[in-house]
Amino acid sequence: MKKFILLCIYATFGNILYSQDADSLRLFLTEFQKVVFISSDSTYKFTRFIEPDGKFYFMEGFVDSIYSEGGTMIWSKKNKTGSYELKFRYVPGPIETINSYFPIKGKEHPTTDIIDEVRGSYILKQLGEPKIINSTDKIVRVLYPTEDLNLCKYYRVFKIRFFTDYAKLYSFSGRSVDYKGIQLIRIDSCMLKKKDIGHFKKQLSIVSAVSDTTCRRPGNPWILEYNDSVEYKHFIISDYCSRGKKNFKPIRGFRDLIIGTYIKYYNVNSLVYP
Amino acid sequence: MNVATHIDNINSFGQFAGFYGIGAAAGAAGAGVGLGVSSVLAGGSFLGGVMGTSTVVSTGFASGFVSGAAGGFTGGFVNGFGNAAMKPGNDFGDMLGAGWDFGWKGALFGGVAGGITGGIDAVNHDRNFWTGSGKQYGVIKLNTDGTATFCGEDDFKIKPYGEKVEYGTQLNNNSSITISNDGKVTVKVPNNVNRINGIVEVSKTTSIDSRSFLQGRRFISFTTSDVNGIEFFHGYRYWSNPFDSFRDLFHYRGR
Repeated sequence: MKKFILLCIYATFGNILYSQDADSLRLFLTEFQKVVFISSDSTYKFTRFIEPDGKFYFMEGFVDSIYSEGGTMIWSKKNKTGSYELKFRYVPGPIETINSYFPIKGKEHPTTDIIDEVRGSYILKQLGEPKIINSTDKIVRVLYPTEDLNLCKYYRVFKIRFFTDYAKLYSFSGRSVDYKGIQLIRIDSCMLKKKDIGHFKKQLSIVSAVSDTTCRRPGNPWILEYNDSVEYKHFIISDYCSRGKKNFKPIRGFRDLIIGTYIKYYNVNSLVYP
Repeated sequence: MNVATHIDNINSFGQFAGFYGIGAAAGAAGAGVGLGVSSVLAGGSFLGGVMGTSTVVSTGFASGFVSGAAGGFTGGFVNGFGNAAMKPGNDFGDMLGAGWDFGWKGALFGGVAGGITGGIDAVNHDRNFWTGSGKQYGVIKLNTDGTATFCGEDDFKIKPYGEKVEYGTQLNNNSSITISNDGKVTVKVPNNVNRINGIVEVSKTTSIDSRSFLQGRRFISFTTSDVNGIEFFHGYRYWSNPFDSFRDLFHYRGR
């Protein structure tokens, strides 16, 4: 019994001593890679950064591959203090190409304004989604970030494909938790009831009267696009930007209908986890 | 519940069914209106809230108070009106009077309960207890004149390095910062920021003693080897700090 108590005491002190290295300088390594973003008539240079916890973001231009020093960060959370050495590491290899999923016409868009298109195209590519701009099928698709203000690591894609006498709802879940970036983790699909197809068609007729529009900042925008085999439209809108603005109500209503239908069919309480 | 509280007045199956139906209707109407109002406050549709298909949920004390009060009033009114209707000899005015009486009491209790529940929901989702607004992480530049500029992390990280430098805070001659003779720097957290919880030191020649880093509610302090240097302060604010409009009281979260 005495030996057991002594063992417990040693284990406790050992744990305390071991935990003290939480105050030492730890490495926070961000990897970066050169990316070329190609639209219908232009090519843009970007650098994609991925942090150890999977947070990713794109910066305009190519960052020099020798860039490595980011400084030191001292932080405090819940009365615990720690230090990180911020380092960057270039990932060698061929420059990644991302083709735009959205219509961007030449230099009318400043490069900083297409960051949402770059991110959106990257996510859709990673999730294995096709472009729907030139699709001959009737398709509605929403790319939805689950974080409304800060960098997001978990995205959902909801897609409805309309066939002659039925329609299917698809859901794709993508998560970024490490240097691999966003990865597909789950796909669901189901047939829609005729009543719900009717709701979608009605709402689609309302939205088709609205021209392509964006309302990106503040916040993380979601991207709604549709192709009714006659015309393609897309909307890039953040909830914080569109708050209280009546002209975005039909588009928000359409987004709500799509995601709300998913919630109803799958009886989910949270969109954050699959 | 309604049957139990009126058991002395029940003399037939019809009366039992009446009181049972009133209780059920009051509960359903109260819950439906509460959920519907909650959805509307969150920017969704009333029906979406009632059906449970809304993609957003209102959160925070203020939203919870309003939706709880609306649901409480509706449930209380239906209950009071219906029970008064069951009593022989009551006219329409008596029923309305009882409805209002039960209604405002329901609104009061529903509002407080809804507010507390909404506040707890907000805190559980890392949001502001009172408004339910989300935390926005970013970099805070303390200007020398005492004002502060906040740049969200999503905007800051994508900036070229030349532009990032502009968000560094000069420690010396800054009205938000006091420096003691031993190199201890005390930073007052500006009003439009809720917390500073990190410092980034980019200079290789300057060092901050991590053990000296102290974080208070409205200040941080640390010791640096160069009090004339520039530091990058990281922290967060709740969205809509400061308030711009009445709408800023009501926030929502995604499901």
